Amino acid sequence: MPHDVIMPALGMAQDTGKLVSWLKQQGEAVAIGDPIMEVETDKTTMEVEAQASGFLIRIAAKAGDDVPVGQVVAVIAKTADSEAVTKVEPVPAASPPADREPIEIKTPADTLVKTPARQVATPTPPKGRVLASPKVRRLALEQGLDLARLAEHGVSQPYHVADLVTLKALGPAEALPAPKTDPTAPAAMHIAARVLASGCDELVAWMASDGEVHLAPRLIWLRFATAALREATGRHEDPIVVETSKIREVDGRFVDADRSSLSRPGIENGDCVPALVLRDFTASPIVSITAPVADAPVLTIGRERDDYLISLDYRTCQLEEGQAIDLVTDFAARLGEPLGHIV
Amino acid sequence: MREITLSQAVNEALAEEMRRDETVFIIGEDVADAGTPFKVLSGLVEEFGTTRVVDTPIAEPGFMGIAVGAAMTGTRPVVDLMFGDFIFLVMDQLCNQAAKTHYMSGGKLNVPLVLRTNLGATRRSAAQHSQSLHALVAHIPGLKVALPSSAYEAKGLMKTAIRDNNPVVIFEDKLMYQEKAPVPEEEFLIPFGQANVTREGTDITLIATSSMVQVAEKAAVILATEGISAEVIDPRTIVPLDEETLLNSVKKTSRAIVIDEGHQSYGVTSELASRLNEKAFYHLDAPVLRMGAMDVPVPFSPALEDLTVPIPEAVAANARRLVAGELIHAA
Amino acid sequence: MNAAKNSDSAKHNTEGYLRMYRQMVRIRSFEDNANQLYLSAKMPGLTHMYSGEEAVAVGICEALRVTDKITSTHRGHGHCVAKGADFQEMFCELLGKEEGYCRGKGGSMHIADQSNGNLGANAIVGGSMGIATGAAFTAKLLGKDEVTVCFFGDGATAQGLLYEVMNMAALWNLPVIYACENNGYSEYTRTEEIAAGSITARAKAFGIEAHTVDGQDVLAVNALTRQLVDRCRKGEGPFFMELMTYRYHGHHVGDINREYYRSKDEEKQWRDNKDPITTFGRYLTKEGIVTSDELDAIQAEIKTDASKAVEYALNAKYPDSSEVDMHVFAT
Repeated sequence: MPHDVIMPALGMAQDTGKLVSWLKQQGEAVAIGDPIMEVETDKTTMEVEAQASGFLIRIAAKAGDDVPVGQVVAVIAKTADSEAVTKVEPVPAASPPADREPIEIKTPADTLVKTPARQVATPTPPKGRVLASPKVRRLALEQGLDLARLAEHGVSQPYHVADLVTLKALGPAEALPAPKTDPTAPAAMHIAARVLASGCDELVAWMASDGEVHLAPRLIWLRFATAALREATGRHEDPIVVETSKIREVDGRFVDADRSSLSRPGIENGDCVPALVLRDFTASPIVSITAPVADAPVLTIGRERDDYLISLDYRTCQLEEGQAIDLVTDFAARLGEPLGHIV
Repeated sequence: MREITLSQAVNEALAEEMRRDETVFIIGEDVADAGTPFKVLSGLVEEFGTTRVVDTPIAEPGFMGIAVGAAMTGTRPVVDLMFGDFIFLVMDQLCNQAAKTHYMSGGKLNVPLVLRTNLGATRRSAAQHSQSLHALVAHIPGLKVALPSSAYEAKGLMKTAIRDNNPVVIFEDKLMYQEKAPVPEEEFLIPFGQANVTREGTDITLIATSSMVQVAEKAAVILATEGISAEVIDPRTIVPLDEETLLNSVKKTSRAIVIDEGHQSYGVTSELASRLNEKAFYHLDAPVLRMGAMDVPVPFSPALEDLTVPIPEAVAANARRLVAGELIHAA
Repeated sequence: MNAAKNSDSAKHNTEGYLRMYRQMVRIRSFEDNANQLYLSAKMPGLTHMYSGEEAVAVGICEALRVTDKITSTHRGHGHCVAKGADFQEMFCELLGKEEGYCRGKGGSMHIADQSNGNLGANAIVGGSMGIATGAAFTAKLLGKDEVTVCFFGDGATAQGLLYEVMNMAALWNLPVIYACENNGYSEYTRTEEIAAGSITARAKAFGIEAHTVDGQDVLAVNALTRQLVDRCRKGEGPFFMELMTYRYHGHHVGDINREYYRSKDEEKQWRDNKDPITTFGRYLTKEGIVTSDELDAIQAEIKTDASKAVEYALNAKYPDSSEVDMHVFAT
């Protein structure tokens, strides 16, 4: 069997080797261990020994050639005459190994995201959450556009910035149908009142100077509102829970604040529905605001110069009109003369 | 401009810095007469002698520790770690000692050393000579991490690393040692923490490190033929990281893929993708994708090994899907 | 006190003797205060007491110049004081205060005082062996006649790093002295249970000259160290010393109930019969170098110094929160 003489890999980072010279000639006899060629790699030159005995034939590289590692440069055969004529074939220019980009090799499974091709339209508009990129959500918000309309028109999700063109082409949204009115549904009601704030201001100032008690006026109102609600609804035995908030920030819920310490009303930790929500808007420029009434009537207190503006929003299912009027009247009276109602 | 190999570029950087500063020395296994198995250091011992190109026994923790002590006392060692995989052997000296000394001493002691080693699979070297472990050290505060992506980068970053007053780990791509690139004859340095936008584009940002920069650039060429304009960014150093350049690019293109040869899980791709999500979320028109090496020990067989590393076609395929706005992960 | 008798020049060195006595008392006084700070819950964390081993640190450090280097261990207060550190900055460091040696970032186990050549204590057992050898490497590379002493305990002889660096130090004739403080216990385990064969034989296997010395005899330690340091400066290093000593406290201040590994009787024997300070004090008075009143005065003065430093440290301010991410990297 003829033995292939190859360009050996001598260095670790070697892709090619330079054939410096042949130490044996075409057709010459060689024995195992005989130096047959000189190769240069990484600035060092070394002799390559024959790995088989026989005759060196089919020399395929000449001195000075850069030969890719592993390429056959000659053959050692049993007889010299198997190819008498010297044929020096040109060696193709060395090229870096193709290891990095194997053409046959499939894409690594884990690094590819497999998805079905995007469908043109989904037959039914999807319910619930709309799938959209963070950027398109931001742009839609800034431009007052509703991405849900794309879904309603059957444009498939997820949505990207490019879909804004389609969304804008849909034109302005149709006006929403007016909500149907139900004659039996509880109606939203509103009562407003005005009372001098000086009484409350004096009480707070007096407590601070005399007893060094620094009290939020809201605590006084909490006590009065609880008492007024109790009187108006006649709930003398039941616990009454009132929730207080400053502008839109909820303080907490307090039970029977009219019967506990003024500065430390009893805290209600459960998740019961309060009987009344007390909102303090005095720290804001808003003097009057209508509250959306959900579970409980809302008593809002705003301030306009020397006056407190009191408003009560409630539904007819929560309070009777008489109870509501009593509640506001009683509360305003207490607020006007707080000292008489605390001591 | 003349072209030299990455190997020659590193050699030049070391020689220049050793001529400039006599406290710079090289220490490691087979660095002197052998010039390392990759022949990167060939010729240096002839110029600087064995006192400054120091052959050690095969004792990585030992010579790493010696380098730390030498750095603390007025020299600038360049530690040669033959394979990146051996970094596990020097972890205590690197991460418990070198990385923390400046901080633990309240700024009194410095450890100006360079650990030069390598990364990269597909050399058919199997699991203990093929890893890309830069994320491990990037995790440790106090270590800087540079990832040169060409001969030019390797020279400029090495010179900066040697002059830095902190421990710097440089991972060279061992497949790139014989690859040539234009490198000016005049002296130059590449500052740390300044990413390189190697290709500008408008539709998608491909952030790639080290060996993966070429992969990303090839992917960009494929994408260009389809009318997709990809921007390619090489962060150059992952610690410190030029976040600004990455964020600005992603804010422009709205899409990004991060490509790195370290294992994907808990790796560089994860870290960079997280930062983009945190800081450019409202500019993203598609999820940021990570493409790292597969989470398997690097296999020996070429048929398997080539599956583990991101390739240009895969990057292009993912970019195509992101640009087309496909549903990447159904809710 | 055989060593003293053999050294006429040292015998009359009254100033040197008194300095050694003072330094040992300073270490004991520092440790007594540190223990009290721990017991009274005024000190964050734990600390490892050097009490009982004073003659080792003082005997060695008194043979060194300020420019000579030492590396220290988790049981490092003694080395630090012996190499010239200041009480106030040490106590501030122990309490995590801004004025501490490391601005409160190192604490008990990481005090570094580079102005006196102390490259820092190390909380990794055996972690500083590379650093010490590296410091000696610097001296050789830069042609300085500095010597480095690497302090470590018997427990650290189980670490492989020691053998890697001793091998290189011996190959390269580095000016380093490996000082093994054999206090009989590797944390909570008797040394016989963790060390096979002889400790000095291990150094001898590398061709390193090794000595065993009574670590409770400050003059013996000092005389041997002087001789080895001189020879190191002449290029005859490295050397190895095994110093037979004893720690009075447990592994750390919290190691109170330790009879399961060590009897109270054994501790009492060492304290009563082999205390380095008492023994040396007795020698000084017997030789007529000082009176016992003078020794008492020294003790009292140092006690006051220590109390003042503790008081100062307790009232000193903590580092500002802005320091938390300062000194991660050197500029």
